[in-house]
Amino acid sequence: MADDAQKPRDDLSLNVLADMASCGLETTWDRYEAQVPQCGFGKSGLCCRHCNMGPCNIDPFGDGPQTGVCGADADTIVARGFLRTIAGGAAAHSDHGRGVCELLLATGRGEAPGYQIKDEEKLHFIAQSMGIEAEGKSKEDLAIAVGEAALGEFGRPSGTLLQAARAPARRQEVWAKAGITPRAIDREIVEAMHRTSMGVDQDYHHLLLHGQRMALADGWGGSMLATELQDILFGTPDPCLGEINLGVLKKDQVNVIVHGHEPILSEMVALAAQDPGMIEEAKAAGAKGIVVAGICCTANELLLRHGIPVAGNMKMQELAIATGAVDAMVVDLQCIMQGDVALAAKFHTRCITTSPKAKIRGATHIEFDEHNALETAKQVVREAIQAFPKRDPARVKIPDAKSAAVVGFSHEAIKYMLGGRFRASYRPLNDNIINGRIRGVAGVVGCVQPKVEKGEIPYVELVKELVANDVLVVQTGCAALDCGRSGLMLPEFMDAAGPGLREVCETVGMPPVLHAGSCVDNSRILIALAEMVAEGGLGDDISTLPVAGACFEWMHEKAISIGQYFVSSGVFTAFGITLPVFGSPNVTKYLTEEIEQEVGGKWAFDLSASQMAAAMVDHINTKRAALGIDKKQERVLYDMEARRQLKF
Amino acid sequence: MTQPGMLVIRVKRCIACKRCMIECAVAHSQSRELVGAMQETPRPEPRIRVKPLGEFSAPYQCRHCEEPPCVPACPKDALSKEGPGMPVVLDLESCEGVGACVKKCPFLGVVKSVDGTHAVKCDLCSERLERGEIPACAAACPTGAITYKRPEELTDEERASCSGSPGAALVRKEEIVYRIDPDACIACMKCARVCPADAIESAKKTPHKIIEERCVKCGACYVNCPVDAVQAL
Repeated sequence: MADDAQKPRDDLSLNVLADMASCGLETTWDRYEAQVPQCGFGKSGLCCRHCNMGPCNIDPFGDGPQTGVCGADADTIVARGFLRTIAGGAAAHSDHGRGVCELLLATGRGEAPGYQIKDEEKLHFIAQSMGIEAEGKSKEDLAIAVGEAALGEFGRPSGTLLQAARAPARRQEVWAKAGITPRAIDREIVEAMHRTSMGVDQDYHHLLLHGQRMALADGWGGSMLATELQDILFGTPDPCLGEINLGVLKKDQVNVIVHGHEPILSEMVALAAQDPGMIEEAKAAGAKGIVVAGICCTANELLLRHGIPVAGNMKMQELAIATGAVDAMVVDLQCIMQGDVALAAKFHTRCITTSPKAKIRGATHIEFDEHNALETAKQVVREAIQAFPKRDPARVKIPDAKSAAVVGFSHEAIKYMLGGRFRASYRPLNDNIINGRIRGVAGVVGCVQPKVEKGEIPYVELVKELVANDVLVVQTGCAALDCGRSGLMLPEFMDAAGPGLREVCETVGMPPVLHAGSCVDNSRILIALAEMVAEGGLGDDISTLPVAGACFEWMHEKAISIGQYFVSSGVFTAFGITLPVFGSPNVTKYLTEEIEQEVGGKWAFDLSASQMAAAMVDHINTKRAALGIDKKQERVLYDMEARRQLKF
Repeated sequence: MTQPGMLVIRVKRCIACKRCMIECAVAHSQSRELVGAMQETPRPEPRIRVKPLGEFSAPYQCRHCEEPPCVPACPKDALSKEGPGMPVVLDLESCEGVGACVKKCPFLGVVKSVDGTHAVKCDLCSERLERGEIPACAAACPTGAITYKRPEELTDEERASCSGSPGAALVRKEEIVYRIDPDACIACMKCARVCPADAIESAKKTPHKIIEERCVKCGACYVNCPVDAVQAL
């Protein structure tokens, strides 16, 4: 496929990193070089630290010990480790979700000034999905009811997750048969920690079944509640225009970066920065105004709902500070590097932590509380305004790089785009998949990290391959930001799409690359897949759809949880780099082959970008063949007689 | 000291767990155990360092060369070799941290201490050997990347990998082929100068080439190339 000469390059990062190196500024790539070579026991999953008879490891070459002190073999050790990785990721998403549920409850009760219920339609929809009667309730009362029910999902004493019932019936049957229907969000994680402690679950298959259940409780539970309730509070994304890359920072304005994951915080900071009083304060300090720019998932949340600019993704957090133009780096939780504090200290930048759950030594802590959010947000913005005059103009180097991007493709927006106000549906999508104009749909999501060489931007390579093959691409997370800042979400990118995909996209008026949001918003993709099944013609389950998922540069445990919940929902999911499972051939075989018999989806890992594209296209073709839509079929005209014969 | 045995290094077994480094430092500490060693000042330092070797990783340590370039280089005569097959010994009393040995060693076998006052180099764990124990790195290695053998225990294949002039007390079984990437080579001739086996064809302005039949797999070219043009495959 793509040859080396045409490989997309990230020259911006290369230039900024070179500049930082010449100034003696340490980056995550430097720290990675210092760590290399990294321990193979860790990489392969063959290290167990779960009890004090250890720490133990298994010799992959067969000479040394093949079991830990308790007798656990490679399969058990690897599977237990994998479960704890899923647990870490699921916990992160679900705790974030819990916060949103609490906020909805507080908003309904009138205890969260500054927050409102923006999407009433969605509130009603979610209430209905939870079996809550909306009749006669004010939106506040409904919000309270939904908030309480949502919080109840975390520790429900019996039954199964309410939102899991939004999956296709066949999918729910598959889960029931495998024994992995998610019960309660916190419970699955607690049970995983229990099962992986010394002397409990020591059968790798059994462990991995629970791992799947736990991941599903994230995807259809914690993450989905986060997405849906965030939509209720902050608005469901609709297509809008945004800008992505370091060039969104302004030399003559106060630059406030919001980095992390919770719109609970970033929405308020954005609001505070628009307050006329704050803008006056900024002007008094010599600035023309205040720029709020996001990094990472919170950037995605603000971008999709308000078109607020994005400075970059996770691996650009240091590059942003190094522009010398960031007056405050305001962070909450997840994906924030401890190294930011030391780097900010080399500039005038104030590093401010805000979450009660996340402090960093050396940072200023201004704790956020939804009961007093706007005031705290103003305090934070004020810190930035106070830092502005302390900028060293000689050190301000804002690269002239930013790309416009059309974003905001929630599942609701996609449905509306395809069918309009009165016939919003996925019918046009399904029809065009069936007739072959669109080969299939790919989710290209996930993290970015320094194991990928400086200057390489594999998501761009991957997405270009896919759209050239008539595959519609949906994106979230840092992967979406890499593509967005490289121009893949501009109308011009339509030129790169295969003829069939292009025809459909141009007719509908939608891009071939759809930015659907943050990492919890991967749950939007689950809903979209369920809708495609419900719309019909592509089989009766998510596993029959011609779709595939990919995350090239996974970094966080959250990515593993996401990958697992897609696999367990029936999607072929390819990860780059490696999974810490290759130390056990049995676990590897289960995750990459055997699991497909049980849940219709499977993992693939350790692929290059072009291998990944090829594997995804192959998989999509296989699904098309299984549906019989790889061949052109005669349209059958149903007359009344034929209709009478139809059975449902 | 009687002639010691040999460390047999199998590079492809190295899993970069760095246990050898920890145990080496502990073996050369005052307290001789981990918790105490970590609290000592100065912190004990490992004489062996795990670093990348192409796509692999490998322990780098003093090769106890038969013709050690460090010995004549030291202006304080702090380095010496008793005879063939014996380790190269560093006398800490005479050492003043000049660093000439560091510059001369083609194998990253000797480094300066963290405080810069003296050299740090493998001593083949002579103390442990005298007690009838094997070197700490070999004892620590969980995959057999580092093992310790008496000279008579070596197989013919291992003996052949004794790397000639370097590595008398060290058998380095690379199972690796070293190759110079002609596109990356800047023809500086540094590799040819450090090659103990005269196995590199080098000429100005021409990409250098390793003569495979003569290569003793010591890795000196890999370590010393200023542009990382030597691949380890």
